[in-house]
Amino acid sequence: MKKTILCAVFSGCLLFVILPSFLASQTCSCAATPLFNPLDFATLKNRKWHFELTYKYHSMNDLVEGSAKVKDDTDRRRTAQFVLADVRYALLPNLTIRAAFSWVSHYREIGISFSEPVQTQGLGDSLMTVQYSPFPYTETRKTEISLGAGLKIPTGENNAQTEVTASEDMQPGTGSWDVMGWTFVSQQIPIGAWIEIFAGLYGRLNGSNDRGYQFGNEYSVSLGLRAQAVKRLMLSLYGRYRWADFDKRFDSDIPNTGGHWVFFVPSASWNISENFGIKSEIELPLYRDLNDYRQFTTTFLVSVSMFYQI
Amino acid sequence: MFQQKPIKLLLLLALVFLPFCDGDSNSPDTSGAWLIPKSEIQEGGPGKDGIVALTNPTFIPVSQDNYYLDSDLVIGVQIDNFIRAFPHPILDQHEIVNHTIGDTSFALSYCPLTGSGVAWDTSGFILDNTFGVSGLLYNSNLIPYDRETDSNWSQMLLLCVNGESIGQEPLIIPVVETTWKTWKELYPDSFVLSHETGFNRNYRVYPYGNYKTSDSLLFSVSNEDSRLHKKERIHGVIVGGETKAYPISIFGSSTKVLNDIFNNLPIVVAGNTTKNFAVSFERELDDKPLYFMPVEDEFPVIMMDSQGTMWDIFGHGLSGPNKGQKLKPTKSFISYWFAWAAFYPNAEIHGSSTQLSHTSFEHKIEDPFSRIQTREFIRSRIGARLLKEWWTLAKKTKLVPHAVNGVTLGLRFQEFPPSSVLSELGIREFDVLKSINGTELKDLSTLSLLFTELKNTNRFEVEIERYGRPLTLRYTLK
Repeated sequence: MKKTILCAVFSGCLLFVILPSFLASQTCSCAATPLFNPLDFATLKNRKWHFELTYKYHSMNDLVEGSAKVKDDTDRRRTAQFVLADVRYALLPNLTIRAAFSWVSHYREIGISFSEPVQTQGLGDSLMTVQYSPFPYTETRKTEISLGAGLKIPTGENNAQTEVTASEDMQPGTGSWDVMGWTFVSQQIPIGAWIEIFAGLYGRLNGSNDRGYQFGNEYSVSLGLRAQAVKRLMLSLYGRYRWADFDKRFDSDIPNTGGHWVFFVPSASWNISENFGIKSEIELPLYRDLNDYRQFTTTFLVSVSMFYQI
Repeated sequence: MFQQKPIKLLLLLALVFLPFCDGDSNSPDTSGAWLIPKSEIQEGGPGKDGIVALTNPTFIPVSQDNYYLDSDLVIGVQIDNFIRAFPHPILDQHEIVNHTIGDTSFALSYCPLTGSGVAWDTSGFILDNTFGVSGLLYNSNLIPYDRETDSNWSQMLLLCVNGESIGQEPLIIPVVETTWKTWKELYPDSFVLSHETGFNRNYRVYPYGNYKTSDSLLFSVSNEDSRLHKKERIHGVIVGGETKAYPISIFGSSTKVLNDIFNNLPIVVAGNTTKNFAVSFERELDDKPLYFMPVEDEFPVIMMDSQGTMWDIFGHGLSGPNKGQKLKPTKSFISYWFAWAAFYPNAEIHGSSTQLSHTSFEHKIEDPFSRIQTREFIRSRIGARLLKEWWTLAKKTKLVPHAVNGVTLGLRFQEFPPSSVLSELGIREFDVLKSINGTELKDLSTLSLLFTELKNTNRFEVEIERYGRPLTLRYTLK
């Protein structure tokens, strides 16, 4: 039973630390770019299956000049919505594989324009990952370390049309193969109530699509706290520092892309039954220092998920 | 309206070299049609009106400004006695300024990615004479749209390329582009666009990083030409469909005047590298040729003709026998070289001994700048290449009826694969095939009939329309 809890904790921690990294990875720069899926990298109990369905709403209406938010005089409304499905399976007690699939919808409206809003939607990219935990929680070990790697597969629609071919940030898929890796550490704190601190390090190297466009490589560091508030209700709070390189086209930097962000992410997870649960989180920017002149970037990102384990 | 139905084929030339199967030729439709390859139009990112055009902004006396730097470039416009300057720092972030002087309304557009600035007379529009930024780019160049008909215009092609006004050419208002320092010397009593535009911008920040000087582009272009640095600023002149580029760097630190003849038209090009300007005019007045020499230190006068008339930078005769006269400006504007080369391949460069080399195997172009091009091919070799590329062409070539205002004018190559045999034969995407040996092409059945005649001939002539301009291709098969 204890092992199950630890597994859940671990999964939750990974979910809340790593997953937002992916979400932000191609959405926070000057505009949203196709993103695929929420990905938590939980290590499941041996031979366990985990199914999860997530809806995300990403508002990207903050216009930032350097680190200062400035007034947007175009009255722009830019959002993205995602439906994400992922399946995980524990091949071994410390080895989990997973596949994630997404559906993406982008919306852009220029308020001062008489033109119609632009919307694109379609299948997003997919992800295959494997995670190995060389030092999982045990009865005596209160620290867990895990490592993971993944491949993002460009299954998404990357030739969506508006009046012409939509810009890269409005495509449901990136059109590129990307690789990623991460490590995650968690430590239980023996103070009576169930509390855990955790930290994660994540990196992602992006390829180019057939139009020569490459989203900037990105990295993030996360640090947070997770606690059981009441039975079956877990609350967490963490901060994440993310930095991204310039996007490139034909190896030339695209101005006004990339930069540095710090996010504040409160979240809650409720296990309604032994196998079924829901969770929700909101990601709020605390600090931005973005490259070049101006960028539209994340105002907030909310998500709700439901999951089922067998 | 016609119903457009794209037809796949490799047509025209396959028709000549190889048998082909026919396609259907339903009625064409111009709605949604583009005069430029749609596949090469790119979204810049901000969206339509995401870059905000200014409309009737505030101007202040030049003498009262302390915002702009001497090195800033400005675009100047003179209408009657009203003279206005539009600084690049404002244009970099708004790209279009809609303005009215007296009875004349115009849209001054500047594309920071191609470095090209032009002013179009918009007085002819009735309900709304302003232009906006469509958010679309072709060859990295701004595509403005008019707000009356929502038609899209290619700034550097000087042509409406999509929408109700398709095919129309704008009426150009001549502009002078130079540094702010020089402008103040030229027209100290003029007015300049105020940086207080009502929009929340820091105009002292250039939004595109090191783009002005780097050798890289942000968007792909259809033709690259390495004869000059990509961002070399040139004064491009268009005469009868032929183009010539005058790099501003050739003029030197003092004003220089070139009495040139281009495409049989006498023109004068005056420029100064240090002061960063170049202007050009037709070198004729009352059908008599004029010869010019430069004038220094008498701004706004920059040159004097052989009859002793002093001419200002806008081409007005200010003193002398031709006082009060106005030189006819050429169809020209300044841009980065890469953009000019993308829009006008094979452009001549003034002072360059390096003409374009043509890598194609058998064909010879008597005059690459002529609207008549003669090409020779060995039938068996070109036929073999056609056979080799047959499947690719069949899949990727699209020829559709081309109609304007409901009248079919020919057959347009909507798509074909790059570097194909069609390119070798001198055909470019979006060329409109108008006739072969004088027989008008309005549907594929006509093309089919022509085949039987052409397959046994060694010479034939194809009339095409490229970017709205006629071009004749004469082929000889050996």
